[in-house]
Amino acid sequence: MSNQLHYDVVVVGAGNGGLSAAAYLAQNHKKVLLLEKHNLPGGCATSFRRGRFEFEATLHEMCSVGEGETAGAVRRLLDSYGLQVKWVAMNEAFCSISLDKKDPFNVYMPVGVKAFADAMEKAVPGCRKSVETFLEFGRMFTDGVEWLDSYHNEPGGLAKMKMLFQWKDLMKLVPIDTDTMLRKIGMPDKAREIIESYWDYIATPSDSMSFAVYAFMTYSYIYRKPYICHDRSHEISLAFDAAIRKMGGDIWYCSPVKSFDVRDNVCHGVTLNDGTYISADYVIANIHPGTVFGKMMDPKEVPVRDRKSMNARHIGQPCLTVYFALDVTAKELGLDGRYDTFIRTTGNNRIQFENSKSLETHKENCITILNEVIPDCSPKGTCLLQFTKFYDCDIMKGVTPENYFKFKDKITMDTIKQFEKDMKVNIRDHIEEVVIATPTTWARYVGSPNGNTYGYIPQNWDGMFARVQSGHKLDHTIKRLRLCGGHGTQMDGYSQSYLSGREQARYALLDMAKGE
Amino acid sequence: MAKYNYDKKHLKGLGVGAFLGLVKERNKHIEAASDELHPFDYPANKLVDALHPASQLTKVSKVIARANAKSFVLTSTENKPLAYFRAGQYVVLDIKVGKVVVSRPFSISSSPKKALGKDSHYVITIKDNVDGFSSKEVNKKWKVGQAVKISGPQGEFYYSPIRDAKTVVAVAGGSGITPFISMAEAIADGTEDFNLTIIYGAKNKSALLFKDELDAITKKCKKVKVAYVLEDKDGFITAKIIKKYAKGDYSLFVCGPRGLYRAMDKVAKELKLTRRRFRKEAFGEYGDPTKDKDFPKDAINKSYKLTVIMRDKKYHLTCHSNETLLNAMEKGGVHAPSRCRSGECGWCHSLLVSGKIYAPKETEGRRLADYTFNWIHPCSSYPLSDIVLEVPYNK
Repeated sequence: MSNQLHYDVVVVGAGNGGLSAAAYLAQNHKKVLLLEKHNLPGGCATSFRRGRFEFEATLHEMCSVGEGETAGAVRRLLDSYGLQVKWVAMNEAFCSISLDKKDPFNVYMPVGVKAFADAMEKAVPGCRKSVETFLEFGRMFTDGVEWLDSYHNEPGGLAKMKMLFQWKDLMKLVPIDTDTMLRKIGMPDKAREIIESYWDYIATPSDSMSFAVYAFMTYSYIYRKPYICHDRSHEISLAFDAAIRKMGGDIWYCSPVKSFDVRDNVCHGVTLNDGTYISADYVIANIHPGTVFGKMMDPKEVPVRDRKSMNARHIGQPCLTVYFALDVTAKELGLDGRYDTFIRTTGNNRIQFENSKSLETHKENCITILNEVIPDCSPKGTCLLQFTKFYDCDIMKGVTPENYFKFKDKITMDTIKQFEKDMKVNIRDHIEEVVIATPTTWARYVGSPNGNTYGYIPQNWDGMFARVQSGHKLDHTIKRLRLCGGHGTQMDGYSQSYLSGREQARYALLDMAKGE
Repeated sequence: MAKYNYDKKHLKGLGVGAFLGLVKERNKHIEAASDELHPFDYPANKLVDALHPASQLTKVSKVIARANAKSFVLTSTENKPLAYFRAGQYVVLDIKVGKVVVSRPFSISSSPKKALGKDSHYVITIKDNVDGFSSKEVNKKWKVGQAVKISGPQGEFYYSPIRDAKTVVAVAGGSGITPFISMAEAIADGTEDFNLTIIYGAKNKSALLFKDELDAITKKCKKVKVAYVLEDKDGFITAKIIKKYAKGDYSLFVCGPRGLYRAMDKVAKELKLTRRRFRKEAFGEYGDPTKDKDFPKDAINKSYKLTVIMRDKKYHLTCHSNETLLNAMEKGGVHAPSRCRSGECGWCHSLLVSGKIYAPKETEGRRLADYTFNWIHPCSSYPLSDIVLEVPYNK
């Protein structure tokens, strides 16, 4: 067929991973086609308009960005693609509130190693030494991860030997869980609970979360500062679109892929929903494995390792977000000065996690007020207030089309009532716009199993370091097909998905160079 | 290494063995799992199929003639119910006019309940003269059995118990009554729970659509009230009229032609309504922008080249400065994606590769980053120069 469409690489899905993969490949002179089912790039990295407001869909804060001497891997990567983004650094690490009657806390934690340690000491007198130790470990992990990154996470030969000497401590602290290690360094329980506030971002309680991974992330936020961009994450996604086009890539929107053409364990191309076939030397899918293997290829071609892997792992936590535009300022509500606040009924995140196993017991909220970082993000006299809730259960089970809207309204009303009671504010009389994104909303736009946005829960045996070491060869089960995204080796989140896209695109280039 | 300031004693008892065995351990867990292929049958995803289908194939199963309008009862031809929706939402109909296909949004005027179960259907009502190009075609030609491809339910014009007052005062002009018929029916059949007072403006008594239906609903359901405001008898809908029917805390919903919105903007100010108590449906196209104060004088009555890129195809069209890029594309046979045609929903979001456009302030619904990276909404953009536009795919 002479008129058949052919590309060096087809990237399916313009989510954070797919955008990064397409940019990397275009940068490396491959003829790339990026296919996206929605009419916008970004997947979760997007925004939406209601009335006179533009809401951020998902971005709370980005890790590993920084600038100048604090620039991290993600900043360097995005800069290398030539992305034009108005980055905004924030001075707040996080705010955390425990409503536990026995031992409540309500803290604002600033960025900066010293300022952070000072604030911790103020919140929990006597914890300074342990906090400083924690941050020093974090600094060491950061250097170690950078060192590994310089070898593309595959130090071989001499470097492998060097790793055993130079990064022995890092290696010792990967398998140990965060709770155990923080106790080991003598951190008081209350301080530990405060420091573990970020656990939601990894979606694993800290008794089964790698200490190294957690300290690495926390230190990155404290040292490099958390970042967002000025014009919502839609800005990053459109910047990617522009960069990919500039480097010669093609992008097709509203072009859902129906199936991957896998025959005899080799991927030859993709078929779109409208029947168009595109052949490719290589295909990269920024799609959850559960979707790729569950409905996008001949079941006979799904490798045994992937079948087993899907059964061994737990799909990431689904989330539910309630977005409000209020016709009152955060200051008028007494909620000013804080961007990102975790509000919990208890400081113990194992209990928080267990509570998230049913709709009735779930009480944990992560709230953001965008105006506190970007004051002009909404018209004068208004603010954007957003609640994010993570569940460890299938909250859409039993929801029918007929009761779907009532289900959304009920969760929203419960959220408002609880928040008003806990914070002693009135938001009900100020709601100008309200939008509720359920797992079904995410399933609609990103197509992941149950609409989860976190890939797979990182269990003890399936953490970042184990995944990273399997991402090149072991988990590459179909020739000329690679998967990237929040489910990937680098774990979930914006920064990690960008890194995952680069990682798998690079492996694809290596495979292609070898003729594989 | 002394480079890091932590006490080595904390690492006592920890070895590198577990790290070196991470991959082996992971493989062991994977190996131990079942090799059954997990079916893709997740509840959240099943709901997407039921609530947000990309398109729905239907046929006309009944035509109801009205004064200067027709109602079409649409039923699915896909062996499943039509998507459930929120009373007030619309669907986009693909309409074949001669050789080209145009898309037009129409509010669903039936209750969401009617979309459920075996007898699942939507009612769409189209005025004879609302849009010369398409509705004439439909109202003259569509008979029972006509196949119609429609979108899933769209739009944000519905009652929210979280946001809105328990009483909604609905101002309808002309065929803008349709979403309120759906709301009234939904209240009457128990789907929705709020008080709805419809103030329905029309030229004269014979121009009223759904009068019999409305009178029947108000008779059996106390929560729904209707007041007819006839131009030839009562004049236009004013703040005074609204005050007569609205008591206490209420939300003002408006649906009708653009002239009605402009009038209601003034009325809302007069009534001292806050923004959150005043909601307007996106309804219809902006029309000729050349009389706008900020429209460049030198672009009036000009014709420009419009090059459209869709996937790997290029189309060479012309576009007049008083028509939207979307209309020019549809006329030229390029069926680019669109939904609300009011600049609001963003579904036609396209890349302006080169050229200059005029986008009226009233229909400006773009995102901030769209300006930086030259993305526009062709449904509410007019050319001020030759244009090269890259649009998303649409079959």
